[in-house]
Order: sequence, then structure tokens, then C-alpha cells
Amino acid sequence: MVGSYANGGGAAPAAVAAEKLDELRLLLGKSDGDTLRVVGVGAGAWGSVFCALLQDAYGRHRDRVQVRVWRRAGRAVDRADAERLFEVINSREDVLRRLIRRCAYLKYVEARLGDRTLHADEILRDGFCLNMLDTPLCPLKVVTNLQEAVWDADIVINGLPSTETREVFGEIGRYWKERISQPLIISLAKGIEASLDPVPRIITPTQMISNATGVPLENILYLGGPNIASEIYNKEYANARICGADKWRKHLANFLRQPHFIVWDNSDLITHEVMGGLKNVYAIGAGMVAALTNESATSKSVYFSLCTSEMIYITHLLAPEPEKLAGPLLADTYVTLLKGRNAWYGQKLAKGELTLEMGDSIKGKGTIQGVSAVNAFYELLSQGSLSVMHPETKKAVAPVELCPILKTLYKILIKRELTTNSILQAIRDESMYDPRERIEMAQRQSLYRPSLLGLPKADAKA
Amino acid sequence: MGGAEALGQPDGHANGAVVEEKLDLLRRQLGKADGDPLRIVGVGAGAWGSVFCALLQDAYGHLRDKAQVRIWRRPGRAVDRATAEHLFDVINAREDVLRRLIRRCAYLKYVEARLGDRTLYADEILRDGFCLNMIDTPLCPLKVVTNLQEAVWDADIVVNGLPSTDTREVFGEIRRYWKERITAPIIISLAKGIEASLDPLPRIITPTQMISNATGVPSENILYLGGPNIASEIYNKEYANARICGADKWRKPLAKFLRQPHFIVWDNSDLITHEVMGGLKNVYAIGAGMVAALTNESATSKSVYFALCTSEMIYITHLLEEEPEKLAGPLLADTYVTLLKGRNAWYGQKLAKGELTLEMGDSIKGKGTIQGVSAVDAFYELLSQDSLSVMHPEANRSVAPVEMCPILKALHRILITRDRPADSILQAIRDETMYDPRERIEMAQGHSLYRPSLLGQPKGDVKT
Repeated sequence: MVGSYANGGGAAPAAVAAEKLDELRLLLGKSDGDTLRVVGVGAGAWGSVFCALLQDAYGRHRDRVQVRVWRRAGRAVDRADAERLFEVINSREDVLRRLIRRCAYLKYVEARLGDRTLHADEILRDGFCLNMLDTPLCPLKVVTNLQEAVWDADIVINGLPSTETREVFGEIGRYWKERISQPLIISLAKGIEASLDPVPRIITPTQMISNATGVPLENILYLGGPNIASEIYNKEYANARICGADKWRKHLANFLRQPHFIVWDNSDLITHEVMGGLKNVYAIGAGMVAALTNESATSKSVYFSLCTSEMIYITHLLAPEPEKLAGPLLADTYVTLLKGRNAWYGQKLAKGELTLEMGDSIKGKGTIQGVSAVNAFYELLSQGSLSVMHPETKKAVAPVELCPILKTLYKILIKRELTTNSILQAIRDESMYDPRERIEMAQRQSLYRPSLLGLPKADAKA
Repeated sequence: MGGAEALGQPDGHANGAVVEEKLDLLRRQLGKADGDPLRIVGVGAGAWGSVFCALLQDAYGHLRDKAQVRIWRRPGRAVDRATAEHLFDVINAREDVLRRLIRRCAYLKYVEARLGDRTLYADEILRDGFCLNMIDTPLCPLKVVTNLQEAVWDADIVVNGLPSTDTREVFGEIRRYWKERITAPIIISLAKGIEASLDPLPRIITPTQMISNATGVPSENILYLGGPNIASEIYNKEYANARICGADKWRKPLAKFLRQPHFIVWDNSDLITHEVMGGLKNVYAIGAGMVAALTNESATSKSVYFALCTSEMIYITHLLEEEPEKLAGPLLADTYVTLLKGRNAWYGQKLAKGELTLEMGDSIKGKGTIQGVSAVDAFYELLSQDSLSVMHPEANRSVAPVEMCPILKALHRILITRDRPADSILQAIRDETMYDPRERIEMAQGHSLYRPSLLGQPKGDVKT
């Protein structure tokens, strides 16, 4: 398809939306009067925005589609956040009017004054995500009981951090035991885990979901792309990519696409899902470099050159013919390193405004997936059973020996035996070794290790 | 070479010894006898050319009987009152600079210029280390020569710091002074612009080709140095990589000679790809600046633009080279920094905000020449020739390659034909994103796009 959407009169977008909705309903076998149930699981920034986009696009067709979000109950909004939320509400006339009209305003006044405690699920009903208070969303239907939320879902959006995916979908699997039809699942999670038993390999969130629920992989897709959720909701132009089996991915790409949110489709689920996690690893380092060099573009370019060469090397271990790190995948990497939660976290650590002891789940930001991904990739690539030839010493080494930035991040973030400014020493030391040689090595040697993304029956973690 | 260089104390004997050893090695390779200094001459004093010479002066200048660094620039360029006032502020804010000028009895002329009682000229302030295009970053004092013949007649190494648009003319003049030379000098070119020639066949003319044709110096003695171009950051010891590209004979010795603790130089045999890509990235840097300004620095929109422009760059490199170096690693780092920060991106931002207009031309006071503008024209002219037809993947008919490069087309209409405003760059990226950029990359890699004539070298390089 060439050419943009003809954004003509007001009727056109609505008509287009209804048509797309009806097409998907037909494909899913939904009869008249039986609504398409779309459920977001987890209410981080991106998960909330994703559901809000769908609600904005399709919510008016109430008899044909229903969007709801599940999140856990009980998360209190602290006084500082309540005060800030009050400022946001009062500075946005449209939001203020909406709350007054829905008789939902006064609780925010009470919370501002400290006379009432609000909870994350109740503010989300009014469109406020605790991880993204500055960007009000449309009102959302919020359910805090997991069984009630998902038991009859047609499409489930996984907005959980990968570290919670196995647990929550394990519970969902119990509620779905009696289901006749298989739901579709779209996962937004970017973290990965490493399993070392029986052989070293990566476990991706889509694999966790499939094993936990029994839903076949052809019904599970990964949506990757730039992750600045507030920008996407504010109609900044963005690209994303839905990856998975042929059966559903083109139809879902069409359903999800909006004038300011372009969705392409790709069959290479694994590379995109893993790369989504890998770039967060290097985003933390990029944030550190930016902070330590006072936003030096020159130092950023050195770091970018080195970390992309490591990423290329790692992708050649994981896939026989990985998609080139150019074009869309590169754009994801570019924006993740430039701006985003993981890069932000790296900056804060380097400036001493956050410490590692505070953990990788940050109030107002959500889970920093890059931290657990550093551990996962390091564990995986340091296994002696995955030996590769060292280009200079000509002896067999674990692949991680050729990824000095990854090693350094591991020592800073996991073992904690180095300080953040050792990332600068890593890029300076490593620069003596031309990154182009590593890229050529990746392309010349046969690095591919099929077992790294193999799928044994069980995925128990060692 | 594995591991970091073994550095002693920053100013101790170990470091000094290493530096002298590198200089002696190059002198031997060039056949310089004792008492005959190695003469290094920068031609042109833009920001990067000035910084490059200053780095060499800082590194080797104390070895006065073995190496001599000088720089040529045209005389007569006056420093205006506003710049003189700004320069005075810079001097007074830097104690080391102030002390140096006082010690050299060179301070009072800046006071007079600040008061409007005297006109300073670019060549005299450069002697004190102030480059007119980079006033905020004082350099070390430099030996500045304004007579071209006197500057270059006995040079061993010439560093071309001219904009590509001046390269042919100046090196044409240099040839007259070199007619009687016995030894061929080495020339390192920093220029990133390119030209298009359409007669007899469409092809690119690079600055190193211009230099070779203008001077008669063999190509094996002419090298291109590419890399990040934030000159002030490099002089301020921000860590940077660069790449010297050229024939085997000189590129490794020069890479070693030029390398410093904070300025790493690698070598590469692929002169043409790097020199052309150096020009091509400036084309897209202007568009990146426009997008950044029009979307209020939206990272999301920048990523869309980055995906699209890198896919066009990949497509173009596959037209130019049979097996081009992958746009990943170091070449990508150059692209990244050029789009993020740099003169061309800055220019795109200013145009989009209306703070500069096209009528002001592409040579901007305080910034120098915006090479991306002439490069847009050159690449567009070249790729729009029907004799270079390629298959359009959807229409299944032959088209000129530029039809597959909508961002380049949009930039041409904004900057050259000027029938579109700056914000049409946003329409280009939004329209184009309906067509997956990955398909263009696959097309570039799957088909045989290579057109050898584009970088061919007929005897003459007369531009039509």
C-alpha cells in the first residue's frame, strides 16, 4: 500500500475504523450481538497507552467491541504523586471538564489535601497511569479481578514486565482450562530470561505465555517498536512491528494501525522479541555515557558504534540469517538509546540520583527491563559450552569475551564490583580494537548456535 | 592491536617518548634527513581543519626541529563587531587563554576590537588560536600563512580543510606551485561534499578525485579522513573515532601518526565508500534537523526518520559499490552523530524554525559551509538520470533510482527547487512510512543494483 490515509471529512476515520473492526470480528467468528473482548493485562505506561489507543479508536462501537484493562488492586498513590496529579488535572481544561462532568473530581482534591488515599486502579479508570501521570489518557474500564478480566477475552494484550509474565499467565492458564476457542495474545514485554539446563538458551515472554497457558504459538504475537508511550499517545508519528505466524499478523497489523501509529508485520518473531530485550541492555550504558560526558555527541557516537557491533555479533549467534541491524530495527535501537526508561535509568545511576540498591522497579517509571536482561544475556553468553574462536589469541572462549560492554554492564549492575564510570573505560579500551572487525567476524564465521533459541518442552529455569 | 596503548603519566616522559617515536617513524618513512623538518600544512581554516592542525601542533609542536605545522587561509576576512564582542567575552572567561595573550603581548587588540576602535581579521585571530567558525573553543596558537605559494611549496603533508566547493580551485592553484617538485607530497582530505558530473556518463566526483586531477599527485598519496565532525568536542578531548581511508602504502603509517589518546584513528582501504558516505550523511542530516525542530525533539519521530533515511542510504550505497561496507558499526556512528548534532542538522533546524532562510545561502557566518545543500543537488542530479534505471518493485517498470528515495526527493524540492516548505519533510516521512523501509533494504541486497560507472574515473572531470 502506497500513499497515506485520505484524512478527509470526519466521517472517513470512523467509517474506516468500523470497517476494520468488522473485518477482524468476521475473522474471529464473532456473531452480531457478541462483542469482541480486548483485555490489557498489566497497566504500565505502554500497556495503558495501547489499550487507550484501542479505546479511542473503537470504543464508540460499544455493541461490537469492549476494551478493558486488568491491574492488581491495592497500589496506593502517595501524597507527592497526588499533588502532582492534581496539578496535571487543573492545568488541562479538557480533563478537568471531563472529571467534573463524571462527578469524579472531588476525590482528587481530597487526595491533594492528604485527606484521602487514592489507588492506582481507581485513577486509571479516569485515565491516569501511575507510571505516566503527565499524560492523561481516555477513561478506561479497569478490572482488578484477573479471572473476571480474562475468562472470556478474545484478544489479550500482555503489558506485564517479563518478570511477572510467567506467574500471571500461569494463573490465567487455570481460568482458561475449559475454553473452547483459543484467544489471540499480543505481547509487549521486552525482557528475556536465560535458562542453563539442559543447554544454555533464551526464554522469551511469548514462550513463557505459550507454556503457561497452552495457547499455540501461532496465536501469540510480539509487538515491538519505539517505547516512548506518552509520545505515542500524544500522536507523535511512530512505527511498530507485529511479529508472529502468518495466520494472524497481517490482520492484526491492519486492525492496530492508526494514522499516527503505523504497524508493519514480520514473520521473525524471535529475533525481534530478543532484540527488543537486547537493546534495553545497551540503552542503560548509553544513558551512563550521556550523563558522564555531559551529553557529548562524539562520545555517544563511539558508544553507539561499539554497542551496535556487539548487538550484531549477538544476533548472529541467535539466528542463522538475522535481519540486518538497519532500517526499522535500527530505529528502535536509536530511540531506545536516545530516550527511554532504560537510558534514563543509566543516566540517574551515573549521576548518583538513583542507586542500585533501590532495585529495578522505579516509582513513576515502572520496571527497568534492561537490568534483568543484562543478567540473562551475560549468563547465557558466558557458558563455556558455547565456545567461539577469539580472533587474536586464536583459542576458544565464551562469546561474552567478545562483548566487553556487556561484561562491563554486568559488573556494574549485577555483580556491582565496578562503578558507572567504568563504562567510559570500557569504550575507550575497547576502541583500540576496531569494531568493524567484530562485525566482519560475525558475518564470516559460522556463529549460529541453534540451541540458544531452541524450544524444549519444559521451560523450568535452572 | 589489542588493548589500550600503554600510557605513562599524561605529561611525563613515557608519553613524550611515544610521541617522538611516532614522529621519527613517519619521518623515516618519508625520507626526512636530520635537520630537515617534516612540514605539515593545513589548507583552509574551517572548524575541523583548524582543530586538526591544532591537534597536531599540540602533539608534535614542541619537537620544533623535527616537525612544523602551519595553516593557510585567505587574508582579508574581517571580524564583525558582534563577533569581536563575543570573542572578548570568551577570552576573559578563560584564565589560561587570558594569561597566554597577556604573556604574548597580544591581548590589547581584542580590547580595542571590543570597543569598536579596531577591526580584527580572521587570520590574525587564528594566530592566537581563535577560529572564526568556532569562537567558543580557543585552540593553541598556530602559525598562519596567508600566501598560498609560501604555505604549500615545500609541504610534505597537506591537510585539505576546504569545503569541497573550493577544493578544485585552490588545488588547481597549488598545482602551479608544485610543478617543479621532485617528491610527491601526501594529501589528507577532510572534505565531505561531492559533485555530480553528467557527461559523458552520470557519475560522482569526490574531493580526492578533484585533488588528484588538479595537482597530478597520484591517488595512492591522497587519503580521506572521515569521522564525527563535532570539531569543538574533539579539541576538548571528548573521546572520538575517525577513519583514514586510502591506498595501502600510507594509510597505516598515517593512522598511527594521527592517533592520540582521545582521538582514535583506524584505517580502511575503501576510500570511495567512506568519502561518498561522508557526503551522503550530510544530506540526511539536514532533514533530521528539520524533523527535530518540527516535532519539538520528538524521539519517536526521529526514530521514524532514522529508519527511513538509513534505508535510503543503504539503497544508494548499493548503487555505488559492489560490496559496500555494511551501514553498521563505525559508519553508522558517523551517521548517528551527524544526525544528532552537527552543522548540517543545525541548519535544518534553523530553516524549519524560520530563523534562517534559503536566500541567505549555504555559507553561514559562525558555522562555515553547509555541505549537505550542494550534496542534495549532486545526488539528486545523479540519481534522476534515466540511463541508471532500476526496477520499481510495485509498478514493475523501470524508473530512475531517485524514485526509490522519497526523502532525497523531498529535500531537493525544499532546498534546491524550493517549491516546498520545510515542513513537507514530515509529509514525506509519513507518506513513505506506508511503504515498509525494510523492503527497500531487501531490494538493495537482493537485486544487482551496482552501477560501476557512478564512481568511474575518466581522464577529465569537467562538470557540465
